[in-house]
Amino acid sequence: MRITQSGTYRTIMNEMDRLTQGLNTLQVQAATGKKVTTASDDPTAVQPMLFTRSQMTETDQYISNVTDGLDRMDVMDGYLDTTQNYLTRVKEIGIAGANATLNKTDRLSYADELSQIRGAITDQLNAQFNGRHLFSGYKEGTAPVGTTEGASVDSPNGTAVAGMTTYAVSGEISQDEIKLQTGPGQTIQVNLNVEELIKTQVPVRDADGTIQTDADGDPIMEEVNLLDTLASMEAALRANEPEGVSAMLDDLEVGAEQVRLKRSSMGNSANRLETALNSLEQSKLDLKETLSGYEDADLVETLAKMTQQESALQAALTVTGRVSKLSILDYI
Amino acid sequence: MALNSALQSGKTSLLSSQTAIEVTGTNISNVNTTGYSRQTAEFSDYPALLKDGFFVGQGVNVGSISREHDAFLETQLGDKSIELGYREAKSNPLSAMEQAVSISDSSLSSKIDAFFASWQSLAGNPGGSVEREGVLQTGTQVADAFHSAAQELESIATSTEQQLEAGMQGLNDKLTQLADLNVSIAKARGSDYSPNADLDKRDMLIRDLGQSLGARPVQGENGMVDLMLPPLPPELGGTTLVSGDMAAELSLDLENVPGSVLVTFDGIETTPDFDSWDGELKGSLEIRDEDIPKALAKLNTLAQTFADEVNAVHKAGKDLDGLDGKDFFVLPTGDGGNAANIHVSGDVGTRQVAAGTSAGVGDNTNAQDLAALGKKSIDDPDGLGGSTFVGYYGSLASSVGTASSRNDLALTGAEDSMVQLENMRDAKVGVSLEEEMINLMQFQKGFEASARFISTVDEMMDTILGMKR
Repeated sequence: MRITQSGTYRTIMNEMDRLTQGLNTLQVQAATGKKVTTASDDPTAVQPMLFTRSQMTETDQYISNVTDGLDRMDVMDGYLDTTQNYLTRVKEIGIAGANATLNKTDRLSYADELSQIRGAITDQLNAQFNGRHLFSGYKEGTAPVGTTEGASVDSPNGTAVAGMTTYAVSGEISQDEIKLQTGPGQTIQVNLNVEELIKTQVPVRDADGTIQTDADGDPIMEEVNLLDTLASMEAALRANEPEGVSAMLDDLEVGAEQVRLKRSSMGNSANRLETALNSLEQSKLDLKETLSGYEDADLVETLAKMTQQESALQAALTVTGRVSKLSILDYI
Repeated sequence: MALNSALQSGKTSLLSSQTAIEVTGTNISNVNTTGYSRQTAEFSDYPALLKDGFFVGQGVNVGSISREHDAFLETQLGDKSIELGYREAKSNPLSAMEQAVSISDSSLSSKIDAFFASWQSLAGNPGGSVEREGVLQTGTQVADAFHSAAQELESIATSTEQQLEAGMQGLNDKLTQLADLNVSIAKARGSDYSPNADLDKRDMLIRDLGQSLGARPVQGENGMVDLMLPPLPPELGGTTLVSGDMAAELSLDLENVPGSVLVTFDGIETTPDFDSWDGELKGSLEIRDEDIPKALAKLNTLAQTFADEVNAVHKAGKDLDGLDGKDFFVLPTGDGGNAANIHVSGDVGTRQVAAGTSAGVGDNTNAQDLAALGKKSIDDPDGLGGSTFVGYYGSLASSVGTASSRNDLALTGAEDSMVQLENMRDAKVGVSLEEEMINLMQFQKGFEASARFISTVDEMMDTILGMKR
């Protein structure tokens, strides 16, 4: 076959184009660190890449939600802790006030302290987090506990004490469970309602302590409302009725126990959130690695390929120089 | 007078060598001319005359200047350039389409992800105005991403069409040129003059038109070449583009899209089948009439389903004022389909975002339902066929990517074949400098020898004339 000059140059040009094109692709890969920037780079990787990115976006959002949820629980826990401390103090006041040796003035000053504690406990229950009431269920805009001033409260002995402040759950508060999504199909409740905090169902007992039952043999339950218990205790102190104060101590214990119970159940939820957060962080790392496997260039491999391509190009260039050196014109 | 005739014979040899050197010179000058076919001076000796009982030759002349030609390679080149043209025409538009349905971090699929993430964020704080605003903003971004993808696809179709339209004039010129060359080649045949340059030009034009239109040459009468669209032979109903000295006129039929190209030949207008075209024209038509509409249809389906699904969940919820949720997205019917028109409803402000299913500010149930849509497989067979939104977009992007990478692979293959075939053509009919240089030496020696012959005869004549002194 005759080999013509233009044929030789055409082949070299074609080869050189190929080589520089390949080199350019590798350089872009090395510079960007990505081997897939357009769908044609690896059409089969497109779906898994997009899917993994979706999951990463989602996981990021879950993480941010769970972090928010944990913050919220931390704050709630703080308020409940304070509430518990107040209740401990109330118990001390109750025990002291029930002491028959105390005089009326002492009881009044205890009553004043209790009045302030009652206000403070209400403040805890009406606490807000980022402008949202924590214990209101879905009705975040509404304070869960309302205040009535100048009311008359009956002491356990039936004495009406005027000029007291009363606190009650406002009527519109719902008992919704606010749930946060912590993963696909996983939700964790992140709120407590004021109702479940301050109201407890206890069986009604006879004087000798046996539980009363109805016709079906089921225990008869009555509701103990912590806010009412505190109000009654204050009324008993103001009415100077130590036996009335003493009568409220059981209900106070029931109320305090309920707060403790709810606080610890919330602690469990917080633990679950922590666990969820850890597993989310882990799956985020996993997803990153998966995505990287699809779209990131292996730098070592890319650089090795680049060196390879560069030597091929060098060889092609050397050959080109040789071609023009050899000419029949130099020999005739 | 025998010496006189020897002088005459020497002259023919001198002239022939000179002609051969001139032909070699022409070959050398055209060493880099595309499509040039090597020419050769064909020597033939003059018939010998009977002289004194002997047949003595009368010298040499250049009978013709022939042109190397290889019909097989020319056909092969024609076929390959059709493939090359088709692949080349699709290469850039397909790359552009890949950009339109990109897989980058800022693509439509990422916007959809962000949209559902913003609902998840709203679920964390259903009453928050920042979160509510976020939902509206990411919704607008999804709509914008739909618009820009649709617009980019549309604009690729438009520029492909403009390119086609702009190319029509050039194609018509080439068809006319081919007919003109036919005429001059036929004339030259009659006059015994060798139309080598015209033949080269015509071969190039035929290859060119094959690359542009997929047209194939058919040997006509009188050395003319006709140009036809398949099916060939013409009896099977192919369309004539050039016949002898007559050329057809092509025009783009913009009224009938997806349509084709009108061919007016001898006053009769025909519309060849879409499939009879090939080369660049078919590539461009395919982009405009098949590839882009297909991608747009998928994008529109995605926009429609996306809006419908989001609206259905949003309407099931209650807004901040406890009112029923409204349509979140609206799809006004208009030019350009759903993807170009989808937008967040003007009736939905931050208060109208339906995060819950009850009147409570803190109710996040509907926001969670909406966020869950992002992972939902939409089973509707007319819609996404069991894919998620992002999955469906992924299949669109991957199908465009596959088309593009397959086309690039075929393009590289076609380019390689072209290089190989052109090298083979060069080997057969191209100019080799080495060969020409050796020819040059050969003819120069011939020239020198002829000159020596003449001077020898001259000396002989002197000798004879010197006898009588």
